[in-house]
Amino acid sequence: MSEAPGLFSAKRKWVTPVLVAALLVIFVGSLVIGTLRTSGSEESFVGTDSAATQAAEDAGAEPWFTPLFEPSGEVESGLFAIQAAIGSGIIFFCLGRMSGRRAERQQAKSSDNESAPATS
Amino acid sequence: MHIAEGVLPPVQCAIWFAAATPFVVHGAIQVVRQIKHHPENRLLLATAGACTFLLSSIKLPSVTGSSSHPTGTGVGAVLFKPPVMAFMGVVVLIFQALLLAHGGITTLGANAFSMAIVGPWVGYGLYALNRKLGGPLALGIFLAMFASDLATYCVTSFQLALAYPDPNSGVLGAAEKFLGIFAISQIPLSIAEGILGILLFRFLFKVAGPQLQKLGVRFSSRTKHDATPVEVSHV
Repeated sequence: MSEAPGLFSAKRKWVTPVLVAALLVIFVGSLVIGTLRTSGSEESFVGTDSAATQAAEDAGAEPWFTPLFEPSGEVESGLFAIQAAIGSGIIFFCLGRMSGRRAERQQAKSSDNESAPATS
Repeated sequence: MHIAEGVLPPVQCAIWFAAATPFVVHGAIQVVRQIKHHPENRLLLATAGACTFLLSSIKLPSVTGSSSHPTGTGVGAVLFKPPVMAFMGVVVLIFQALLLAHGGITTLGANAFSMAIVGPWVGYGLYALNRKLGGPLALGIFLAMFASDLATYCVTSFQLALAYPDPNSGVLGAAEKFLGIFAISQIPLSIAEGILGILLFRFLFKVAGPQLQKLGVRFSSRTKHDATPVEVSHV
């Protein structure tokens, strides 16, 4: 297999830490700027989804159907956590398996190389 | 981008359902076909679906002082083409509508159209355009993740604007209002999602390089030939 070039090259070890740092900067920066901009108001970091629903209702929307099951705030956050847990569980299971298979392939390859001269 | 239960008028709910259904059915067929004919890609397929599942559950703070969630549909659009994500996205939306009261069954068609159909297609379109122009793969993946996220929220804004046009400035005025709520908050999140996409693909190239090549996620022919000199010149 040819080596992946550019930012995907495994040899460029600096890429991962730099990108993780960039993610942290965006997260912390958003948190700080967002807090400063909403300081004084009652609730900061309201979901855009609920803000849009509010705006639609101000514009005359009248919900004609209500959710069949509406969890309380505490239960809802737990259910969101379960969703995230299932998602990350599947992702890391798959990534782990692919990583294990690659190790297997490499091991098979290197043991082939070792045994080849002996058998021939 | 989840339009809440019952917020859209019934007729528009029906229209969005009708618009989304063919894409979702086609996507479901593609998912089954992928699993049947390419069992070696099952782990990648599950990863792509789980990305949407995970990322759409995480609400992150944004610079505007509100919070919003990424969509994560770009990974699957790049790996398996957008139709696959039409089906996977709908599975996520149904889960959230039924268990979390987030989004809704009546607005499922509209939400599927924005998150599971338009988002992945716009992301994939930019990814393909970048490849055609010979741009670096990292840029393509960044654009796919970034655009599939942002486009989803733009579509939601227009869906709400069509349903509730401003009495004075009409649909466009209302679109501006809803874009004001969604789009600006979403820009930093979309950038973060783009960066996350590059990180994920870095790992995928390491552990499943040959599979990615087979799926067509490869470096443009120009950079492939120049790979060695480019490497040297950068070091």
